[in-house]
Amino acid sequence: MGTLLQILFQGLGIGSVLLLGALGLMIIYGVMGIINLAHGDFIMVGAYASVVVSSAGLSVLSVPAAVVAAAGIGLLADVVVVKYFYNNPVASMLGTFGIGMVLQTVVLLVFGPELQRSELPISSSVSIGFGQSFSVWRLILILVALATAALLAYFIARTRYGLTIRLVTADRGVASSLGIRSTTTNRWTFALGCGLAGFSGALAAPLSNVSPTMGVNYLANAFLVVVLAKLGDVRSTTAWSLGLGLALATVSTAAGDVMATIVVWMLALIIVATRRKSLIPARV
Amino acid sequence: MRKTRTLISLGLVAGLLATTAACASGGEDPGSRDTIKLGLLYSLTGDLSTVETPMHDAALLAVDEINAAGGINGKTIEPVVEDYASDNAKAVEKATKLVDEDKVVATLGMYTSASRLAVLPKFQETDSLLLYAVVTEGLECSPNVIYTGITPAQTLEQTIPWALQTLGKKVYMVGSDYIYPHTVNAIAKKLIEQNGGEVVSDDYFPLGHSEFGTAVDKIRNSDADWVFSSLVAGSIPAFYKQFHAAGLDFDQMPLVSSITSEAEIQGMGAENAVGSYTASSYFQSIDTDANQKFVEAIQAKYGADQFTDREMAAAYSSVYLFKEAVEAAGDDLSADNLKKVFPGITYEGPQGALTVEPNNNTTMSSLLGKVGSDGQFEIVKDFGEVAADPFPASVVPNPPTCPTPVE
Repeated sequence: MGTLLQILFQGLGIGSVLLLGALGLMIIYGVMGIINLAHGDFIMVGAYASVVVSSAGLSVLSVPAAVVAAAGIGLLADVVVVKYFYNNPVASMLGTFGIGMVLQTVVLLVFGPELQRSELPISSSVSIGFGQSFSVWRLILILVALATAALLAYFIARTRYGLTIRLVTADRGVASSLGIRSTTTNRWTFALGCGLAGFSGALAAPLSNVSPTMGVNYLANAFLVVVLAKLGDVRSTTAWSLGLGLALATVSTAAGDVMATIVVWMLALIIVATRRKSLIPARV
Repeated sequence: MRKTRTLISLGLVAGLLATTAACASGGEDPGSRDTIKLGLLYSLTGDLSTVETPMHDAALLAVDEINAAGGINGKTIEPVVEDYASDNAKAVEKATKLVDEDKVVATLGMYTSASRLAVLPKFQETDSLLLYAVVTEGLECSPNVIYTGITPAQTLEQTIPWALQTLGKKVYMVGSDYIYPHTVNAIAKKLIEQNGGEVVSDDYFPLGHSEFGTAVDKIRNSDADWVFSSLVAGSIPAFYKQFHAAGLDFDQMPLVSSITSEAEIQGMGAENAVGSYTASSYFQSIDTDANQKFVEAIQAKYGADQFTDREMAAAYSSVYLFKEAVEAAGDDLSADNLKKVFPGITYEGPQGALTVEPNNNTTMSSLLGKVGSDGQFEIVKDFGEVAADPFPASVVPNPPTCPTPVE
């Protein structure tokens, strides 16, 4: 029973990091049909922004700073590069990959190659019964991830901007005939997705490490979730993130982390292969 | 028609050969002018630049120092820096350039075993010399490589018995999933069993893995007395941090690492490393004049918050070993002669005394450090100088001759 409880909590913990990482990629992919290969690097930008602000003694502002920095750079990237690829998903992958390389290189030049210090705000654990305990910071991450997903879902379902997003996602032609400028929607969506990436970078970094190349892992995981989940659907993304987290925790407890990685990616491969749905949406 | 084409291609080939020959004859013999070329082959960009740039910096510092002090036999060392960008295919390209075009006397560099193995054929085919200054699993003994990094048996044979006696008999082992940690853990496991200890579990994680929630739970719920870790690179800060995030610390559950250094401790913050042990040949805290001079010189050149670690010290010392070898070699700077000269070369530097042995590996100090609240290692045990054994009997029952002749 203790082990089951442990797997449940660890699974939710892993899932919450996956979810935070995936939301930004999901919204950009869902609305714009662009696979943002710089997503991991925007997470990296968020992590660096939070480290810089924290080391200046302003820990309280580290998360907002990460969001603002990543969203701001995302906005700039859209104006300079991404907007030319709105109707070309394949080229957009190359374009965003390039943005990622630029971000990595700039960070490398400014901060150097060494690992940056990202302090863990809370290093204590709480009892969860059956003689088991769980990290408080991970517990906070789970709650924050779920709250973020809920807010994003509310934003898309209930606000006017969310309505615009849904309309552009559903039919770009109709949207523009109704006077909605899809370019504007795209621009702010890209910034929103990058801001979410920065947010997750600031929150996940304390458990891991901060380096110019840290984004790769996050991108791979986020990509996995987005591919499996229903296009642009927050609830589906949440379910897949937590489901994958639970699967990873179960297999790694039973058979080790190497096996867990193999099993999860094999499963994903089988699901994607049998689904026969193109990665790149036909409508764009 | 076909004949013409053959003729044209023959002509092209001949032309190409002539050009190559001209280039080759245009290049100088190593050491024929007033500089001695030393290749520095490190990743200054890409994933591995995090660890390799500081090594490159330390090597350059040694070059500068030697040149400022008058060079080697009146000749200055000319460093030929090549960046292989964390790409092993590019490493082969760059090694080829250094050996064939620049005609360096020797090359210092490479980091992962995979990168060393990638360039090894080039050095063996051309019978050139590579100085490999990285902690390594051993299991290899090329006549064309001088291994100046520490091998696992050099630290573990002393550290494991000490830890079993001091920390307890039951050991939980963790490591990254590739050759170095597997070899280290195999040696450690053998030593644990030979010394009356017990391995509770031996777990591996994908390279670069940063999610250790379930692993830490397993350790907490095991009856292990301490953890032995051969996790590498980015996994180190992630593991140490998540160990603390789960409410554990290294006083309750001690940890002995074969590799964690000042670089990772700076990255995770001292509070996440305090109380953990590392077995090594070098710590920044070594209190000797030679090391103080080294640390000050590095910090003067690269900033006051620049750490020094085992790999930097090894890269720095290797340049000095190279200097000693070139001095001993006299006028004949061929790789053949250097290979003959290297065994027996010694250098007393930041790591203490180093001696290159006839097996092309290096005898050096074996130390055990414990991280203090300032993030620096306090040296708990100094086991003295220990010779390298690239083929420890615990993992290689029938060791080949060392150096192993190239077929």
